[in-house]
Amino acid sequence: MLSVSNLHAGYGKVQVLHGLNLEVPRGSLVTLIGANGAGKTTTLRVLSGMIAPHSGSIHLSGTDITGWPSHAITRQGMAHSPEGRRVFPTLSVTDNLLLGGFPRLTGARARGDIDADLRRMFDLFPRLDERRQQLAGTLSGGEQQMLAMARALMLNPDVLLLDEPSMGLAPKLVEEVFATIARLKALKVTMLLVEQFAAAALEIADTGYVLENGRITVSGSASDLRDNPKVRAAYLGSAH
Amino acid sequence: MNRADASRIALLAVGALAVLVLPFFITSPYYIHLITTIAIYSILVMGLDVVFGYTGEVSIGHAALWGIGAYTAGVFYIKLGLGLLPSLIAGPIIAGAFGALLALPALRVTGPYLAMVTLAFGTIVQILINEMDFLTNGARGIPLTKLLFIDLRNYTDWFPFFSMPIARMRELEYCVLVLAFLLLSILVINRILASRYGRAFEALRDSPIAADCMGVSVYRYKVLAFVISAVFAGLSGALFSYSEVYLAPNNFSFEKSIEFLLAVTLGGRKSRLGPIIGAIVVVYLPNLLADIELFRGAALTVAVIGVVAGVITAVRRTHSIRRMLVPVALCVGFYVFSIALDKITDYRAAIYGVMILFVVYYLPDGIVGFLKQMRAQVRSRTQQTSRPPLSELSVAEWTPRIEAVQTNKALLEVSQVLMQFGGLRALDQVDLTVQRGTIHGLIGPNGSGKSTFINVLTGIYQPTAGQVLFCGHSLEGLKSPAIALSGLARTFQNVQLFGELSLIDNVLVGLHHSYRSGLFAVAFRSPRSVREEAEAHARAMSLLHFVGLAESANEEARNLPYGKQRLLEIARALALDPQLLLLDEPAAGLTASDIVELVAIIGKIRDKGVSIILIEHHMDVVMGLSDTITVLDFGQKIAEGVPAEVRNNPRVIEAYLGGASASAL
Amino acid sequence: MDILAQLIVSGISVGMIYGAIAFGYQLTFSTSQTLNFGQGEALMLGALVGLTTVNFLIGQSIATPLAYLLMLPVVLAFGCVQGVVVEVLGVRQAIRTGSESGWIMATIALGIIFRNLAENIWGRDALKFPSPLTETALTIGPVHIQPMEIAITLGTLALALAVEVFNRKSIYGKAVVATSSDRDAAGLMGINTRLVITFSYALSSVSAALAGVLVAPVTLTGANMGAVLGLKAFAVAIIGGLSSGLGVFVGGMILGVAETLTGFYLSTGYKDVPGLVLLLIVLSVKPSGLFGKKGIKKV
Repeated sequence: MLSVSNLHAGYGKVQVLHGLNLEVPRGSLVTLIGANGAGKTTTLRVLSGMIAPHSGSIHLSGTDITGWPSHAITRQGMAHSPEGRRVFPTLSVTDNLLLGGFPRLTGARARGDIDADLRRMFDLFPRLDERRQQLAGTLSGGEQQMLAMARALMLNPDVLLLDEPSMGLAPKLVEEVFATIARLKALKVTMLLVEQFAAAALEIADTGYVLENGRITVSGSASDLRDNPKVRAAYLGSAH
Repeated sequence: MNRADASRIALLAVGALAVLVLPFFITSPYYIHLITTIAIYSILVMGLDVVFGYTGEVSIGHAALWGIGAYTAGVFYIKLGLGLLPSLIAGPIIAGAFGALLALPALRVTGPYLAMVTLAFGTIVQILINEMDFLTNGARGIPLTKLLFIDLRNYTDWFPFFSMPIARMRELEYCVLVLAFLLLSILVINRILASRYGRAFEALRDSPIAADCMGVSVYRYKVLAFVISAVFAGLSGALFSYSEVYLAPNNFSFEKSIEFLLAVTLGGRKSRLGPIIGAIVVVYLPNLLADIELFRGAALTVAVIGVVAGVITAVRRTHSIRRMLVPVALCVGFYVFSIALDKITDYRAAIYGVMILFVVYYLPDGIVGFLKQMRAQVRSRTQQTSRPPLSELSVAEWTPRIEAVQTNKALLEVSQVLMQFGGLRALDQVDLTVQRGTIHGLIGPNGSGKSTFINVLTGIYQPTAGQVLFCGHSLEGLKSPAIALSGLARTFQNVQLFGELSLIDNVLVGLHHSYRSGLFAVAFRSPRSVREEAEAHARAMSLLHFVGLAESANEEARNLPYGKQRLLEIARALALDPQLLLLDEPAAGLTASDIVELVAIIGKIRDKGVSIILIEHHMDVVMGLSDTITVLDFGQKIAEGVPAEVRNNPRVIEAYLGGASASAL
Repeated sequence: MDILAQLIVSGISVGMIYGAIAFGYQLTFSTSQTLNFGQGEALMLGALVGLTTVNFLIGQSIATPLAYLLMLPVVLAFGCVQGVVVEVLGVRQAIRTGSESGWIMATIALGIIFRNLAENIWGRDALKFPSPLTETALTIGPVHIQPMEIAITLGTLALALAVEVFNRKSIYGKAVVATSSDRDAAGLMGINTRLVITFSYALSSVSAALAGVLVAPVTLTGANMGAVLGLKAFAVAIIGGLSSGLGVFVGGMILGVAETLTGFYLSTGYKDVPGLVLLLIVLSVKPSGLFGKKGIKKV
């Protein structure tokens, strides 16, 4: 579904990614883990066109989307729930969700049944259902995270990119977020999950990639990675 | 003074003399007046460049400052019966005072807001000139009389060519006087801009926040830049009044401000030559526009140059052909436009507008900047610039200037600090103590409050509650510059260098605190100011040498590779002679070899007695360097201790890897 | 007392004009953090294009009120095109390169060009704009109101209301709001934010052009009518807050009343001064505006 090869990218002079290779097969949940500053968020930002890659290529469902602007990539079917949630605080929950379906509402993408999808989102995220008309800025952190994920899902995406959905959330809410991701997985949503909490991410993912200093150092099935000491070393440094 | 200096000064003196004598050989009164006007404009535009080129603010109010200078002279003349000399003193002073007034809002605003402020100021002054009839004669304007300083006819015995009509003598003497003032202005502005003042102006343009954290108060220096700029505008205005011998309110309108801006952008900012070239263009342009044939000729020249430049770049493939097409088309279109017009004077303002658009997009560094670029290209092609390698011996070893303190008390004591943004507690009752001579690591997941902590310490945020004691003194209520000067220096997570300044100038901004001599001492090059500059230079070199950047001391900081930029930031922070250095993710974005170099330098800094707080995500770096590590999570301190303890602390592992299952790893 | 009431009523309609121009500043500033320094020229061009259109229609022996109504769509369409020109020539590239002085200088330059072209097309003299409504004032109690002053108030409010409804009800309006609040996130929604910015410039010039044809019948029209209006409207935009909100209309009314008072009690020559002084004071004391909130400084 999503395939990335030899991706180099960064901000201005700072090169962050040094030749990244990544495959996200249809219907699977792939996780990209690594310490802060390893380049996880940068990877997602390049994939969704928020920053342009220096070199390398990105294919989505067979289409070469390298260097496309983010609105075009979104219309092609890549949804991105960004770091820090980035919901639209002055708009209501429902409006935020409708904006997630903007390409569908404006004919840039197959329309489908928007209303049914809205109802599905409220089923999936009951906390949002109670707050349909509330402004997104007044939601709690956990609710905003739910909204960001639901908003991305409203695209009916081919691939969903999730950037640290657990960031800044209390442990109980983290569990809830992961439970939701597991449910999405059961619904066969193709996902690329970036997480700092490696343990929880590897618990639910099919495949994992460990990113260190902009390079993939370890990859494999999630169950193999769970027992790999290199993963912990990637976070807390190797004991001398 | 060595021989190279002496011959340079001699050359300059001869050049200055030549400029002053030149008018005597020009017989046309029209050209004498033109030269006088260009020189008057040049003085103002150079002053405008201090604000526009150096501090990076757009001023649309300089015509008003100019008018204030001119009307000072005019009012002195008709109301007080005072002549040129008092006006030349009072004009700049009064304009300077208005410059300070104009800059007051700069305390809070910059960019478009400040541009609007200057525009409003300009409009108000024009209204006042028009309406304050009792002082300015309103719309009737003020007539003045041409001056004669020395009757040169008394000296025709010795210099026969002094015999000339009295009208010409007046024009000639005034022209020489104005040229002398131009030369003086160039000298003074050059010296100010080459000193710590000029560096401070550029620093606050490139990174206001870093300037504040180097002890260079952004506000104070922005006001100063406006005042300096206004003083030269006032001087220029006073000179203008006697040159024109008639003052009319509409001379000092918005359109004039635009002409000045066009002059500085077209000529090239951050130079003395640029404003003069710009002044020549805007003064001469109306004449050019009055003569349709001449204008068409000039437009044709521009079109030819445009096409040639376009072809050259297309052949060399420096720019994509598509991008070059627009400016080339504009040049050609301009020529076609000139053919189509028959009354160009009516389109003067539009032509100015088109020129500004063109300059903004295709000649952002002006004519002078463009020529410099060309020269650099030619040079780099013909020969690699061979700078003589710096002698290792000439650079002294850097040692921090820290008074030895006989105390066991901690250097920094933070207690119960709370930082609240709305409902979010970015820092929640944090305690932290840094002992002298140690490296204190500060780690935690993203968003745990590390950078907030640094921002609280350096005065960028005011904490909601809690106390910070540094060297036994509370930092409460102190602003960033004051905190920096008290011995607390920092680097930034996203590098905040002064990009257009050279490496050594970046460090010299950090050394700003070591100067004592003021603006006048700098302008007149007092012995102390010269000595201070030399000392600071030597110290800056030793700092650059310390971080291994001495070789590229004269390059612009923005051209440095990223890893080296981080090191330069450290050198700049060390220039403050800090007791405590705050390093905010110094290894972020660095390559493995850069990190090795960085670690060695951080170690050396500690060995020289500077204490350090180190925020870092590269665990090998933090664990390897730190004496103590504090771990933050959700703004709270969750662990503290030596590296080995912290690494095995279950709460830390959970914070990093998450979930109860973290223990499985 | 009666005079005071009269001055206040006249001040309000002037203030609505400032409000409409300031509203235009807000539209572009919220989507792109840039604004058109030639906004006053957008108003002037709108008024002059309106004048030519109205005169043409009257020449076709169409009654003045009908001519005025028929002219409105022409002027609004023209404003739209003019706004796009400003965005494409003056702002787009500067946004891409992040050059602040770039767009300031470029929009100033475009303003000068527009004004100069107008001078050459319509001349430098002030022209009379035929009033669509009767010029006999209505008398309500002690106060006389020109019918056109009522039209100004209703017209500007209708525009603001239309934009508000568009933003709330239409998905495209929501896309504009989304772009204003978070450009990157809006891009992730599949919204072409560059187009939204162009659109906001078009709308901004439309509001200025409408203000132009509304104010023209009560004042005079001419190439130089816009500059000071644009500047004073900026003061209003600052007072009302540049980010958003209908505070600009309140700010506009405050300024309008202050001006008519100054004009009456001091001298008409000074009537532009209070607005400008207000601008200086507000920017030195509370640049976030009377109704704005302060943002957190990011490092």
